[in-house]
Amino acid sequence: MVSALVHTGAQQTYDEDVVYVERASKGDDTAFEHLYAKYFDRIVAVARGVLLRSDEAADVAQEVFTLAYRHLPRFDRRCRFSTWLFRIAVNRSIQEARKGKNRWRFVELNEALAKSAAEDQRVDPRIYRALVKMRPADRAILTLSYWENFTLQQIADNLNCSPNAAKTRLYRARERFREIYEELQKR
Amino acid sequence: MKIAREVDSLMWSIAETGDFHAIENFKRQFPDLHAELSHRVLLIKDLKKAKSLQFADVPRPPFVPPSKAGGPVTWPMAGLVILVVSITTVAFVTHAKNGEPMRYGDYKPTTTNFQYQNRPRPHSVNVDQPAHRVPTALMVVSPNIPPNATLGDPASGSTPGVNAAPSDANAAMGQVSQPKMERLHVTMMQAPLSSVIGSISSTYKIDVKTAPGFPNPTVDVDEQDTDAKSLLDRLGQRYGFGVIVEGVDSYLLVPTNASKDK
Repeated sequence: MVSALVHTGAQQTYDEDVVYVERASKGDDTAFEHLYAKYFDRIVAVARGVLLRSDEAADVAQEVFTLAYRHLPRFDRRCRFSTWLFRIAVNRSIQEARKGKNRWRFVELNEALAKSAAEDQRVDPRIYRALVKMRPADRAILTLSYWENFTLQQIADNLNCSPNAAKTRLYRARERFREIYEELQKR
Repeated sequence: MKIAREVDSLMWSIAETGDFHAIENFKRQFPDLHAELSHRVLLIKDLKKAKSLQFADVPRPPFVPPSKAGGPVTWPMAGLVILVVSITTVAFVTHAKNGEPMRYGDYKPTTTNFQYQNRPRPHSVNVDQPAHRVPTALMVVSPNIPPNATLGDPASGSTPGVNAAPSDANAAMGQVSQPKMERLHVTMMQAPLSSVIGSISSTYKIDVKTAPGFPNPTVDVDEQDTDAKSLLDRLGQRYGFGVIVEGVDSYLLVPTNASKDK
């Protein structure tokens, strides 16, 4: 039944995750495992875009799914499960990045990223250096837009704001990134 | 170079799509912004490509449902905690109230021989003030010295110049429940009256207050085997003040007009 709806083009409005969410809400852990397997990599990618650290991103991803599991009964069915999940991920990642405990690592990160980027000749290491210098919230919106290819509406849903506000935030984040990037290019 | 907001927005849109035809059209329409657009295209391209830079791979661990015990506090659990805290608080308060020793202010004297309404506001004698200190050489206080004994007599068990300590019985009974009837031998020569009263207060461990206008002549005291009340009464008769018992071991000295020995 679910697959039929999806294959008939109803996927624009129908969220197939709803079925798994319902089952998981009733205590079916295998249903939640399905959601976990489906979204884990993307949640890690979002967290990594904000934190710029794979290990911390993995920790945040675990926290995100734990939070989602515990608060599943409170999930508002009017929005998509994925939207809710990404919103948790963005918020948790930004919180984690703001804690300041990562600051001392950024120096080390700069060097590591530069070395890593040097190995990969396709990418300018200054991109990462510029990202490191940005605020976590700005990194989050750039990650959602350029790495995860979210639309403005999806970004707005994740940041809990209107599409126009999301557009403005994206514009400002991009300008800040450009300023830092060009500053680094001058050196 | 100042770029109009609409053109600026259009350039970012084109840079984000990276559409070749759109770029060519834009270059034809705005040839002077050619370099700027190319710069933005490269910037966005680099930014998007940055995702492909190798981070350490994050393996997906199997999902372990968090234990229910570690979950959020449930209402029955919260109720139990509140109940325990309430019982503990009530027990503590009850115990503290019952076990608290009686404070001085809580005691209501049963014997008061003077009604002192509208009396002047008393003030305490501060014996620590230098002006009230008595020269040590002039002050001798000895407890329960036999009438024939001399100062410093080993037989009397007293030491000149050392104030008497309250008896163990008094300490055990507490200083509030019963008035002190300790009898001492007090000798002070050429000392101000206020100092004498301060010394009596500290020696007998009593609370003595004086009313405003209290006289302060230089006095000689030599009283043997006497208690605090009697000593104050005698001094009052000689130096013109009355003794009012305010409570147990608490006296108020009020000046009178008549003075027999001034």
